[in-house]
Amino acid sequence: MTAKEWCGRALQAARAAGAREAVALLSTRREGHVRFADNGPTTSAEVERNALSLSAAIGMRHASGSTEDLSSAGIERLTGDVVARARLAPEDPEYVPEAAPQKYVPVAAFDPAVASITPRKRAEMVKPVLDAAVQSGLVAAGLMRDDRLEETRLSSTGSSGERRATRVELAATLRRRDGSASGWAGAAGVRLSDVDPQKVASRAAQKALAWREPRELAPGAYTVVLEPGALAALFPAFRQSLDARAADEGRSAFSAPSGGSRIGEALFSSAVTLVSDPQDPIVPGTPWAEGGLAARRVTYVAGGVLRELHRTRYWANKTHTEPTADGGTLRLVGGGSSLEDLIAKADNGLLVTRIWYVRPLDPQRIAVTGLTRDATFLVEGGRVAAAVKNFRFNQSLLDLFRDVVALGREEAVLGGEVSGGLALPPAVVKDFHMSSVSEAV
Amino acid sequence: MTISRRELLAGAALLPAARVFAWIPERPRPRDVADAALLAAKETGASYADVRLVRQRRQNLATRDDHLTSITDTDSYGIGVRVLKRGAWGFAASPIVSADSARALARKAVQIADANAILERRPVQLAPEAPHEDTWETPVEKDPLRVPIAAKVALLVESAKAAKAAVPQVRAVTGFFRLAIEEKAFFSTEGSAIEQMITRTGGGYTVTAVEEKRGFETRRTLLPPRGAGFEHVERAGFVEQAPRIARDALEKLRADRVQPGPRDLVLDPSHLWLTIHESLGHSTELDRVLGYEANFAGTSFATADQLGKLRYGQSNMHVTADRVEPGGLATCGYDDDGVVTQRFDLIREGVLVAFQTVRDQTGLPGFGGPRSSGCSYADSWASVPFQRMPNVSLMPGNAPLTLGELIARTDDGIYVIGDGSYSIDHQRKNFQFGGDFFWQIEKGKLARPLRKVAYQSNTPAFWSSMDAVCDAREWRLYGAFDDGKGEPIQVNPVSHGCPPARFQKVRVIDAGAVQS
Repeated sequence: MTAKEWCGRALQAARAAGAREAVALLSTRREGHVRFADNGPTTSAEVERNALSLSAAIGMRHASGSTEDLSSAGIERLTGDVVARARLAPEDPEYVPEAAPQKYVPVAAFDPAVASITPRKRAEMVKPVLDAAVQSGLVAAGLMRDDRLEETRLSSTGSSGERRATRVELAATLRRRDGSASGWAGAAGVRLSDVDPQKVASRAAQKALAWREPRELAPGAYTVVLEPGALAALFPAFRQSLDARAADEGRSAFSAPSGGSRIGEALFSSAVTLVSDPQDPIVPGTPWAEGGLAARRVTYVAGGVLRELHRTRYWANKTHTEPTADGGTLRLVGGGSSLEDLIAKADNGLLVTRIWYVRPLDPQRIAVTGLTRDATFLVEGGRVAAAVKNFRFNQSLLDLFRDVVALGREEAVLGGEVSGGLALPPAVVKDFHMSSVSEAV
Repeated sequence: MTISRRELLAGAALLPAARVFAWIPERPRPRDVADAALLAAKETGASYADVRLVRQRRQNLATRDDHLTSITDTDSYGIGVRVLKRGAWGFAASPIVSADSARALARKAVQIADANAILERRPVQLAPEAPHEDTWETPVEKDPLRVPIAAKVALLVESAKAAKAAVPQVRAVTGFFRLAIEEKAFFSTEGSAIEQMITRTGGGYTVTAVEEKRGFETRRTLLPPRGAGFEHVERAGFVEQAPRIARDALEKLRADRVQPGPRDLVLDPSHLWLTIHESLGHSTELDRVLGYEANFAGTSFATADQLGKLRYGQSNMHVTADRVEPGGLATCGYDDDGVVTQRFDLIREGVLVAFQTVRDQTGLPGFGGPRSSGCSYADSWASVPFQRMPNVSLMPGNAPLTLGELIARTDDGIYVIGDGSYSIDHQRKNFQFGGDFFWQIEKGKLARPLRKVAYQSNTPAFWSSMDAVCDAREWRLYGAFDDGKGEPIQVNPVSHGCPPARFQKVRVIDAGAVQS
């Protein structure tokens, strides 16, 4: 039976159970990884996952559920349970029915080389990192992982979509054995060729070796060069604040003082343009969005002007506007400059290679707290001049994007706490507020 | 090589005659599925193997104001097979639960262990653990998944109505329930056969008050998630406390911002649990100490050679770890290495005396042994078990002291209630915490609310400044469902108990000012 037939069967069963409307999503996934530490492998796995998700509605009552049991009995149980819960659920006045039939754009997000990767190949990708660590007298810890996903979505209104996606990531932290220095590097992408283990290893080793006897600088405002991986850690809080309803209701940094939102205002540096495109070649998204709408390119910020906030179908109906329907990824559009060019442009400041544990501090200004980690450097005269101790920072992200001086070339980023696809450039930002010194290495 | 079932289980006693729990299906028999994997693993050269059949049923429910916005039930059932061959781990998992699937997974896991032979490594050894045949179950009065949806929604919707009726400036009330039942059957080549049913219940709501000139502030319920049934939520008094929570949100919005500087802090258990989690719980995980988390969650300022020497605080500081505390989110009978759970001291009279450990750390510095302390956990059948935090708790003080008495004895300070913003460096030293509600203490009384309060410190300095700890009457258990760690990241439910305590001259900042 094909995936579409599985979904069709679930829809048929949901209708037979009394659902007026239903959506089925079948996901088939294979995830593999090799994790390493102390210059050897620690855990290593290959996992198959299948899940059938079903949403069902009866008028304004709705419920959803999922199962990994794809037998006939499993599908029957899922559909029976979901429809029964929908029937018992109170009416949801904000419920919006599934969109009329949509045509989804094709998304190129699949590499057969990732899809067919073997345990041996994973080990071969990790080996250069471990070898580099040993050769440099360092200790490596990190992760190589790969993911193959196939999804089929079918709705009772007639929309039908399929997608295939792959993802590969390699990240490594190389530390001195005495714990006195640490350097991180990572690479991610759709294709196996997006990840060069030698390059990851040498960048991490280079940072660990260069971060020698760090100086302690006073807290204060600094011009910073943020590597893409560092900027990535700041993005979840910013992305979460891009919500139209919260802004319209006065609950957001994007609420206008006199009511409504700040859409149309030049809030940020003219260098800042933020888009989401399901067909982005670096970070392809999902072809469908909320309620089965076809995902489309959305420009949130153009030349520093706030153009759009994320808007659900309910809120769009209520405010007589359009839902945003993005594909779940974001790209901060960069320029052509390399990281080295940006360091030269920064003249004097700090090079921040990684940021950690970012948490909201003051939602009225999208202020966050967090720390630099692994290797932070002083930039003087446009060159990396010395290692410096890490900092805790307290920083408004409204201010950060207002104070962007320059952006480099964007790349797909990874980071342990970052979800969803992000393509980010390195950035030069002035007046970044360091609050206290962190002794952490 | 063919191994008989008798040889495989040599030394193991008879298995329980009947299944205890209901969620994992009877057919195929879990024991038969596990045996197929264990035999296949042995036949392909594994020195050790374990099998976990795990079924997790969850319900997430969300409301806004007077209506339900989503209800999602997930049902996840699968099998994970872990093998040790020539000192290397391999793991494979699938949602297809059958003897054939189990055999294939065992072979795949062995193939993975073999593939990693090209990577130099320290051969893994396991700390000894006797085989266990047992069952364990969270004591539950009311199965949270069987409570009618309408009753759950009513608790949140009625709370929202009460909040809005009490304070017109309340713009939104968002509520949720997270309910989970995890059943797992564990079998190993050492002869263990363990079934456990773990139930966890959490819920609450957030009130947002808006005034045009002042902006917005939120206030939340403080009910912690627990290893318990729905009775835990029903006893919380959600609806009754809604008007007070709404008034608090408005008072917070109208409150003065805090004056930065060194201040004495009285920290409520609803707040202090998170500081314990971040600064004590994570810094005493042996895998972090040894660099196994260096690429993501980080390492620790505590090093293995400091065991028995490192001073975290004064002699009034006693911290335990356990997976046996009633109601604890990490509480269970056995860990995912098949180790019986226990309670042990981490910090005694202010000094580090043990790290949290798992079986494959035996022989490594800081292990302390001879047995593992039972801290292995995998967040699903598809995840590899590794070291996770047990419930880590600050013990009450010996001298009689209530919260009221502690506040009365504080001349000038801030009383912090509930958790807020939280962030700590990757070696668990420099931290900054906010809260949910703040009172200025003046001359032993709660004088007025404050807003935008956060404090910065570092772990040893902060805990050394603890000059008063309330007694056992004030000890409360809090916690969270989703402590993230590991790569690929896994989440761990964990609780932390503590009484209110006072900390001297901690650096307080105004979270509303970027230059803080």
